[in-house]
Amino acid sequence: MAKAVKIKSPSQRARDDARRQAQASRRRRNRLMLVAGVLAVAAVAALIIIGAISRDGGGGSTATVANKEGKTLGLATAPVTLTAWEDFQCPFCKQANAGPIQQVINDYVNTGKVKIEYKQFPFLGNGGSKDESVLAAEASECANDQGSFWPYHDALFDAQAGENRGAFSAANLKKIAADVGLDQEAFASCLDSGKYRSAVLAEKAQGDKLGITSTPTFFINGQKVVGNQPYSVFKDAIEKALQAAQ
Amino acid sequence: MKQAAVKPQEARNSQTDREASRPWRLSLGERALPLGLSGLAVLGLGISTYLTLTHYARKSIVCAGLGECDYVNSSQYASVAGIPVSVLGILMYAGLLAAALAWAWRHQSEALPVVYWGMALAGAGYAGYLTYVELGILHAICVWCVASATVLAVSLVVSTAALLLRE
Repeated sequence: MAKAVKIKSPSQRARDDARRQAQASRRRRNRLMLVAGVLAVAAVAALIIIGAISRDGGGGSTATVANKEGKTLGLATAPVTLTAWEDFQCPFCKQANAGPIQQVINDYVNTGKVKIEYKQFPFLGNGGSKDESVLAAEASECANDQGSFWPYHDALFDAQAGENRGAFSAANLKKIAADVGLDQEAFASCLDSGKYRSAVLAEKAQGDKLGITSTPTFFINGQKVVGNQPYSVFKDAIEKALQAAQ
Repeated sequence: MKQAAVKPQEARNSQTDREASRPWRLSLGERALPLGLSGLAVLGLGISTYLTLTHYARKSIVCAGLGECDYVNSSQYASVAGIPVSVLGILMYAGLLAAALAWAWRHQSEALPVVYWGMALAGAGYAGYLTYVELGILHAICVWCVASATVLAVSLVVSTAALLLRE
């Protein structure tokens, strides 16, 4: 018996056509997605590899200095004063000290034209008696008691490890003092007594009055420079101040 | 009789075809998804712009008590060959916005949703790597970076679902 030939109705043919078109469209889309996916993965891999190659190992060491006197660097007779308001937990302060401020020291402090005064602006801590920004500031004042503010200042920036994560706990601050070679007993007694807490907070309040809202903030004979700016910004401000002082 | 029953259907089909060639005459429903994705891209653009501004200001700012934005934003992972990652974010979100708007304009295009999807995949992939850097290497979280990664992840999931479910 001959097999009956099934004749499709126009609507059935239309449905078949639509199905075939949909399948073809899906295949095209899958091919496009494969190409886009490969390109996306390649772009991410390229970014990660370029990032790894261009990374140069971090912030570098902090300032090496000369002519240290208390919290001031440089000769008292220097015509220009650069006041640095910083928080020891602030990574941009660390970068500024390793970068443009080190160049200022080389070019202007060591030649007797500029002196740098350090000012405490501890604002990144969590507050309370264990506020790490305030504790680090107090510790630096205790180091100053032993004539070692600047070596301790550099050691604190070297010891930075994120904010409010215990890097500047009292125990770690004492360890850093030992590493710098301070009298450990005198340092511990100073820090534990909290003798500089009110002085540190008073200095911070003085900064607030000057309108400081972020660190580092510098004043170069009154000219305000905010942030870890390129050396040229400091150089221009210093040259202007030197001309005005003549 | 039978032919008469088919004709209105064909008439409806040809009417739909005509409307499809005039995308802006279609209902909002056709464009709701790409327009929603455009909104996400605008959100991401805002976050990246904010992060770029704080990166170039190179100053420490309080991160609303949520994580350590300046620590992450000043780390050596915050730039690729001297270009801040947040600038790459601006470029990525601008591209996503353009692709999503083009998709809304030509909603029947097969290529535009895939272009958007590919960019979202790249963005979410790189954001995933950066989140790993935050958690696994820097041990610090930047809430703005997490917000941006979330926007990209949502963009990827939504566009993937839209492509897979599309007829």
